[in-house]
Amino acid sequence: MSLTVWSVLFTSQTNVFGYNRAEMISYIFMAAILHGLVLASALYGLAERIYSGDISSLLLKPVSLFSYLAIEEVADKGRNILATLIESGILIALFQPEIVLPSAYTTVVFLLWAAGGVILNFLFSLLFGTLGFWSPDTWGPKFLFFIFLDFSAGKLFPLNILPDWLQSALFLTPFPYLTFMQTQVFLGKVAIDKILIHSSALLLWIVLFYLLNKFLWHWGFKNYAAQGQ
Amino acid sequence: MNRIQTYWRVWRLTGFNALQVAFVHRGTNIFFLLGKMFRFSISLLFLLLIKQSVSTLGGYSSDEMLVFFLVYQVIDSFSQALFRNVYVFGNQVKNGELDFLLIKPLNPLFRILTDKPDINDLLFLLPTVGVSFYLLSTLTISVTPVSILLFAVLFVNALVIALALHILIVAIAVSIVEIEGLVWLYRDLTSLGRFPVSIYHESIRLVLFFLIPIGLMLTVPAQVLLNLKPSVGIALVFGITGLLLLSSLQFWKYSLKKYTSASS
Amino acid sequence: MPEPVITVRNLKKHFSVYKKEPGLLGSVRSLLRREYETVAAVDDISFSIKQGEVVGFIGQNGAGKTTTLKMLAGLLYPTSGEVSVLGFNPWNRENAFQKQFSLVLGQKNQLWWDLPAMETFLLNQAIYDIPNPRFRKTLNKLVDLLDVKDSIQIQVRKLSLGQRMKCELIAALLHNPKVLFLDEPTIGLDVIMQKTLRDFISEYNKEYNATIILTSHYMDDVKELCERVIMIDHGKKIYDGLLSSIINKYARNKILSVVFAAPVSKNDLKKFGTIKHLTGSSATLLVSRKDATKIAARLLESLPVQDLNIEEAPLEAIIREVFGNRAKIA
Repeated sequence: MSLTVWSVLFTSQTNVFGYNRAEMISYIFMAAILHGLVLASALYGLAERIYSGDISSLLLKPVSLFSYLAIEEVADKGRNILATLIESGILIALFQPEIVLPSAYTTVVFLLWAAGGVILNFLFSLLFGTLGFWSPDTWGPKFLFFIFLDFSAGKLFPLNILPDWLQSALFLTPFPYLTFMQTQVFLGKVAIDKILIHSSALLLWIVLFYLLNKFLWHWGFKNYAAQGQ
Repeated sequence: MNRIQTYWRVWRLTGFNALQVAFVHRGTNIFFLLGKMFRFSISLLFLLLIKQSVSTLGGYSSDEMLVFFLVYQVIDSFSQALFRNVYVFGNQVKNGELDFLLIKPLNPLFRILTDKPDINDLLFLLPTVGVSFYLLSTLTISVTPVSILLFAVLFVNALVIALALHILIVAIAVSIVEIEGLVWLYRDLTSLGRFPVSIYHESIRLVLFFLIPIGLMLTVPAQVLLNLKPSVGIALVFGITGLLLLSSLQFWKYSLKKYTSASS
Repeated sequence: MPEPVITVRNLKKHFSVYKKEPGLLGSVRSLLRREYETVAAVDDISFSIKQGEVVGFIGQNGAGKTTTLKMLAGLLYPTSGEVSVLGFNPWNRENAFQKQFSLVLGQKNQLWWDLPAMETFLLNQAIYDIPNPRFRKTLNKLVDLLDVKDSIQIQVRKLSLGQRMKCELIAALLHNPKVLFLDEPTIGLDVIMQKTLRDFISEYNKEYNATIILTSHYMDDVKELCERVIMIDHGKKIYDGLLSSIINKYARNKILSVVFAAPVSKNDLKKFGTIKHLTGSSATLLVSRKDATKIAARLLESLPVQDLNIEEAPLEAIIREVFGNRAKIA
């Protein structure tokens, strides 16, 4: 879909928003692959499972709940990666687009950041799960979140086409670190001296959301036991 | 006449019930509404940004592109609000609710399509139509009373196309139960109509004008509104719409017969 | 003699089901060449039912009861045969016909889950074009009979299964159907609720002289409601007649349940009848129908009996026997 729009755009232009044709196509492919890898999660039904009490059976198993959920997530990711790789493989074979390839150094950074994005999204999913401790209606907030995510993680279009003030605002949130920054480092659009800063930001968000999760789950379970659901 | 009154009463009641349900889940619905607003503003933002850096796109000025998008938005919201029940129809087949619809003295298609109109979408229509009118007034485009009138006719025609496509979806769903994939396919295809279908690749264009006429539903009305030469002649638009509606009804009858012949 | 309300002649329904061999290989093979097998869900059934009758359909799971009901309701096209309900051909699904019958499926529901049942009632009023005064009158009567005045204003999802089933029944009866098909209306309900619903169905039948076909797994439902039963096995009608004559014909035994003051031995009991069950001081015995009272008297004399009951063999057992006999003949 976005491929067709962009290719129409590039019929009359050679450079749109600072992206040339090859870069934009690489961006779209990378964004799609990262979307499948990072943002797809097996845990979107977690809140319902908690609210319905389904989660109790997991609590009885001899593994910690979080390891269990993490394993579920990893298994799901495995399947997703395979599917997206095959899909993009077919698309690339069909259209044979020019793709920008990164250097060895940026590849390492890219992989590390991608792993960071996966962890961050896992923490998000867990956080949404806690909604189930308090409410059966969790679809609305999730819908809003997905819409926001599609935008803020750069799935619809690269964030650097936005006005500067909006970009700076977005970079105060963790969302660009889910998939957008990864595509940028892949395309070589992140200066070497900025890599350390962005890496620390990503790490900081992970730590923050880890702590937030710890607190909310603790609180949620207390609430759970109190209501005897 | 009496029958129409009955249908109107039933529709009003299901609409009112849907409103009540929305109130039951008001918390979650506010988020849905916010989500839709957000998506709408982001898409607008994107178009405005393109407008700033690109002056023409596939032969259309960026102002005209904006009109295509707004027309898409309004027609799509309308058809979504009206034909809402298809989203849960798969479940209705699975859990046997369809049987209850079939034994009632009312055309089952009516309730399959229009039950539980989406209150979110109806509410959402207000601001989008408002914003659309405001934006239209700021653009340099040639809109005349005649073009508005013709647009109104094609708007109704667009809803008929949407109706026919939804009947097709439902008819397929009766036999395969799975409907979500189909609905998403439909949504993805209509979202191609955010841009004039005529800018796409030849093969896609043919499909979208003549096979699954998203182009007739979204692009042609906008072209007519803008006093541009429509990609497909108006007479042909009505012809294809009629044909599509008839064949979808025929297909529905066939599917229903097959459904009622199948195992319980 | 009044015209029958429901006439069914040589009704057949065949499904084709494709056979799949187990395992992956089987799946691959079935892609290439599917072998279809025809299953006769309903196989040449005929009967007719007069106005005001309550008829029970009895049969094991998959015997063809629900399939027959669905054909009568116009939800399934028959493979062959004729059906006439109230003079209509059900699968033309004419409005005039649909306004005169109703179908209740015990395992499915038509009420709006998130709203009070009253909203569904109002919707049905609109669908069935019921004038206001008549709607109010019928509703009040049904609500009174079922004693659900409060429940109909409560969100359906918050009702108990029994309350919900009562509301389902009301939703199905608001248009005063002359013909009523009830498929497992009491399934999953507790004994008291089953009884309430049975009484209600019987009341409705008398009040409106409605014709009712009922299927149920609970033989108590059938026993209390239906004078006449139609037994179906593997799609074929094997019995059509009075329930009481089945009992007289097939029920050869009665059941004695006894509680003794002290534990008794197997040997002491053996001479009275077949021991079905014995634990410590309580036992159940199977004795022949005509000797039941005599044996009970002898038991009271010879053993330290604390409590004794003579019961009819459960209808389930009788039915099992009927079906069992058939299997032997076949």
